[in-house]
Amino acid sequence: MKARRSSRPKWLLCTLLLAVIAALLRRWQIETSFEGELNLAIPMAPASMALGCTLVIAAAVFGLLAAGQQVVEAPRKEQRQGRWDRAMAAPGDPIGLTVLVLAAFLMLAAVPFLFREGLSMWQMFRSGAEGVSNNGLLMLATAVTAFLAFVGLLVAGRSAYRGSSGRGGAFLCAVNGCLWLMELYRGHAADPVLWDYVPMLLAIVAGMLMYMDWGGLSCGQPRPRRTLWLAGMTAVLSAVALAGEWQLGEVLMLCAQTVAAFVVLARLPVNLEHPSWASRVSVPEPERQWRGADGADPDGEKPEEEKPEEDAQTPGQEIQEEESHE
Amino acid sequence: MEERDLEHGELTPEEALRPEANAEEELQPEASPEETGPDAGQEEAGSRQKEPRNSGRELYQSLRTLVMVLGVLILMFTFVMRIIVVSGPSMENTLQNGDAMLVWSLGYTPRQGDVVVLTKRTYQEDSIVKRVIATEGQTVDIDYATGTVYVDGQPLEEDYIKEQMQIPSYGEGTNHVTVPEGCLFVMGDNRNQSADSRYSGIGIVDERCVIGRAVMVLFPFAHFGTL
Repeated sequence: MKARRSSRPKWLLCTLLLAVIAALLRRWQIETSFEGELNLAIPMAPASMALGCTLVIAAAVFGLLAAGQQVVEAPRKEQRQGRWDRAMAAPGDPIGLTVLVLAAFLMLAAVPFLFREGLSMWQMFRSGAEGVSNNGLLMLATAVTAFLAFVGLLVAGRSAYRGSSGRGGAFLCAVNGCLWLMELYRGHAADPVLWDYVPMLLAIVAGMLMYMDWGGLSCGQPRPRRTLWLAGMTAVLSAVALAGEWQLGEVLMLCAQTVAAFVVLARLPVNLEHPSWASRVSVPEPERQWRGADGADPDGEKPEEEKPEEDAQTPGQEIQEEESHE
Repeated sequence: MEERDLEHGELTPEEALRPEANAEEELQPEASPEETGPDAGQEEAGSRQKEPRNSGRELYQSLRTLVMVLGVLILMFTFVMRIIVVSGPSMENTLQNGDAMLVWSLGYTPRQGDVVVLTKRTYQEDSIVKRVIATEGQTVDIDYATGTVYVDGQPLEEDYIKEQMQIPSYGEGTNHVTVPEGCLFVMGDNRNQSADSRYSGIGIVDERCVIGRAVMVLFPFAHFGTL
């Protein structure tokens, strides 16, 4: 049997490469493509053109990768048990869990900064300072939903680690994206220079849609190829936005979004190619751990069904095996 | 490899590597009753799970619709058109304080006589609404004695202004100028209460400061109509 190589390395490498190139081009654009005291954009500036072309190329590359993504039909047993519920699962994978927890804590770290900024806006608005029309309520709401997104990412990480569905977590992140998007637009609606905020705006839209598709995997609306495309675009656009100058709270949320996008790119292709791996849960349930610690089994021997499967192994190991058969 | 897959009753290697024709359309998380077979216990379990799963799907679809609509609206308001509320009396009687107007941005190039929304960040962060009096290359002369504005030597017929123009509180300001390339000379229709291109804080405006053209008033309905 000739096994196909996993597309995961292609997704990760292409995304990383495009993200770095796009971020460098954005820095070049910031330094060379604006003029005057109003920082107006120079029409047809080379850096702006190059950045625009790079984003189009990124969309095309991810489109091609998504079109070529292998999606293996799961056996009936897997489908009955909710194959798409576990499309993002990585049972027993500590790295995936760690990365998602990192994303969650980046989101949590953003909360105080957003809250402080929102409160400051509110106080300025209440004091009737001249020229202040933003009351900061959207920023405060974004801070609240950022905390919910922190919980959501933790839930998603735990669910992935245990091999179960974590749909609610992704939805909380999408809700955060909605508020964040409105707040960004509210703050820049009068900005005539689109380049000032459009990269950030596109990054938020892409991230929001990625989280929705992530949640949709386990809600009867699986769009795995589109989810991958959105994850790639989220990473690239977030890198472009990060190369700009933003408040710390927004930078932290962008970082969290970027990390989550890379988790999708690292996990989803593998589970699409090997649906059975996602259901091989080797993590003991919490009740079982508690029972063992309670001294119910003084010898410390687990019942047979609690033992991890003998063939439980990481997807990476199995890919190597398959490749060695070639 | 093969032994393990078969031992778990999952799939043969050939099946495992068969790409789906269209996973986006065909694959559903729930198997149909025909697929599940005659196993009564599983069917019962399936029917118990069906209701919450369907409600979850409906909730997801509602949320997805909201998110998509929000994303499309924000992108449309960024690139195509915007709704902006007038603040201040400088454009009376054409626009009243509190009017919500539709502003078209996509592919717009300012022309003489258009009502435009622009942001001059050195003056204030919020946008302002003014009328384009002259574009690049045109010469503007303002005669306060007769209350007439001349563009390239021709007097403008300004039936839209609120009242006859007088010397504003900040002085005559710029009253004779040739508009540089890529710039605009703008004034409010309420000439006596308008900070505009005559005022040094605003001055001649770069075309790139223009957000778009005010096309129509949407609200209040009493003022509804095109501009």
